[in-house]
Amino acid sequence: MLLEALAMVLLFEVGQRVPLGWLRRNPWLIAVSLGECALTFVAIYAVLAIAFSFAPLDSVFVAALCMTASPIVVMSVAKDLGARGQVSERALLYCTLSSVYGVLLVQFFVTGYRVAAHVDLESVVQPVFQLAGSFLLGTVASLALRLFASVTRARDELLTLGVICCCVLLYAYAPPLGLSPILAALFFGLIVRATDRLHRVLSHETSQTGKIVTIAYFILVGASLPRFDSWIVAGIAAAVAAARLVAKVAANAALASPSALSAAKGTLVGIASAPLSSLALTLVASVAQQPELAHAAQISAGVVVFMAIVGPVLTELSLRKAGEPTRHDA
Amino acid sequence: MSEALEFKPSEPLTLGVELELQLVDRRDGDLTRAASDLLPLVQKRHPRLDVKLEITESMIEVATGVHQTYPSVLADLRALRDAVCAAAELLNVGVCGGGAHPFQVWTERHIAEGPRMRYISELYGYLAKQFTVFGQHVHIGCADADAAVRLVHGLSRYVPHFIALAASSPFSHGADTAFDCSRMNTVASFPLSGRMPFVRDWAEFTDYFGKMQSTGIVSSMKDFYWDIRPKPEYGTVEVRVFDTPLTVERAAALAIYTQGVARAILAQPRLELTEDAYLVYGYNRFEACRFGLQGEIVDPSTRERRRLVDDIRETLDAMGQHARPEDKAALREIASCLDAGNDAEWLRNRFAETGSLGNVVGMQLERFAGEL
Repeated sequence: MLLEALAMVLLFEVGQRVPLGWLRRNPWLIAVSLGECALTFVAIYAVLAIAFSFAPLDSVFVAALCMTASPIVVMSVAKDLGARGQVSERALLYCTLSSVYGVLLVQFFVTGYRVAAHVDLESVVQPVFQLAGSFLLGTVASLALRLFASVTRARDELLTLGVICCCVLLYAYAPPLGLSPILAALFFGLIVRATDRLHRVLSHETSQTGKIVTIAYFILVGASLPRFDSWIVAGIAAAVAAARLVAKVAANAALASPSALSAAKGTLVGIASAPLSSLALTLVASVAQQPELAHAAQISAGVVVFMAIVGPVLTELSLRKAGEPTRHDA
Repeated sequence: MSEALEFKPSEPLTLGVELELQLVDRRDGDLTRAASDLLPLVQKRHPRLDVKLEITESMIEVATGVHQTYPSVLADLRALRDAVCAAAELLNVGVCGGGAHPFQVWTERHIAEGPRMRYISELYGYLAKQFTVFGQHVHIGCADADAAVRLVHGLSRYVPHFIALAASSPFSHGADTAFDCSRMNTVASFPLSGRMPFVRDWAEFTDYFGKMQSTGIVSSMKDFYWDIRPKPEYGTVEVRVFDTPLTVERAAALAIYTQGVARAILAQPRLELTEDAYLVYGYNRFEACRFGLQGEIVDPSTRERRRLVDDIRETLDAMGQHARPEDKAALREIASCLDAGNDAEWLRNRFAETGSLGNVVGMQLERFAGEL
């Protein structure tokens, strides 16, 4: 629970860093993110269904869970290096979008599975309700934070406390309403970013409390990672992780040019988008509630373990290769 | 004569403008790394536009073609601005004017790719990264090399005018420097900065250049970071003391003002100058950098002390009597600068309103795009 609450504070910050206006100015970014997720989904499905003869249902759930990536890890690595440039910006954007797609897709499949193991009206309506409701909740939270910031003139530590309070409230009230706390936190940050023209709440990022939240989050992620049940599961998870990485790199390299980036930098964006972490763990937990999907959850958790360890290293190597770190001691 | 110093004559009083522009992160307004991603985009969409890398990855330089009038140079500058801004939008990068970024940290800058950039970085060490400052260069065409030398000396008296009118670098490293133009202090760190030595004609100049070349210190005119220098390969004199203004309209107007001053200088058959013309050069330059339009300068010939704003207004009035109708708008732009204050004042006012230099940069972006 604490892990999820901390993740929400960091997702707020992710949302604050993601520029929605960029998607309007360069619509190809949406095409790239959709292409990347679609190719990753297909690659994972193909590896499981063809190479390991998994049932289609298990393959679909693992593919939906593992096509996502962790914007929190990418943001933390980029912040640690002081990275500025296209690779860090785009990796964060694509990871965030993949998380949104992942949450909705998993919700779509889970609802469909619950209803009758097939797609019907409720399975379509549920993700739309999730999206709209979470957006509304995020809007309410952003209004509350702005009110708090303007009344108390809060900066730094006090502002971070305000953010934490809003996230805890979202965490408490989103699930009873049938909404996603993850999406609500993300929308909370996005809306604050889009409406805070005078940067009244930007100082939250640099506060000491904000840094402590990040450290605490990674300690809890490390402690929450499951162990491999068998070498077979580890082997399958490694194969899925490899296919996932290849798909992300291939999609980003192939679609880089129309989105106004060189193929070389597109490749680096794909590598930087490797991390998979707490968000996926949360989704895995929701899938694991269905007894028949336990196998899919087990494999997905294995992939998360791999990418939680290897992912940040790949992100850092990629950002360094792109020459984006600005901290001279980084 | 050195081949590099062969002066190619150009049509007198034609002009060209170069602008060094800031590339900033739209999220917090800090400088970002974008030049090598932006340049191919602009070149692909507009192969004829002159856009180049500068010393660090947070800068880009644009250059106009050859022009004579205000509408023509302004149209060219607007086309360049629109092309660069449109490409930058695809990368979520902001483009703006201003002589210095208000809170960037020089250690965070990246030297751009290219042999010239590597050479400068290896030679000057940390000065190369500190050279992430943004200037406007105005080229004025000259019919012959001797006229170019005459023009360099003649324009030197007006250097305080140019500095004060263009000043847009009041902040540095997050603090108000108390200077209207702090950029010139950065340029002053370079050993070959300052003014051209007092030579009377092109023959004397090439003699001086030959001596410098023989020392191994310089290999081309690019190695001189003078305030005003001859540019033999273009057949021009290049004035380099302007901060990049916050708008292209101001940039074009400053170019026309420089052309007007040059017209008056070149209209004289001889320039009666001695080295005393540079007696108070450093002092006047300092006054313009420090106090902007409110500075006081000393006339080197009469030793009279007067307000810079009065001196500019007098020059502007004289220029207005002979100005082409199409250039009147440029002179009005300069007059409005005298009345409303220069860009440094505008930036200080915005900071006073918002209390955030990040927000000031946000407003600079809007102003450069013509939205504010």
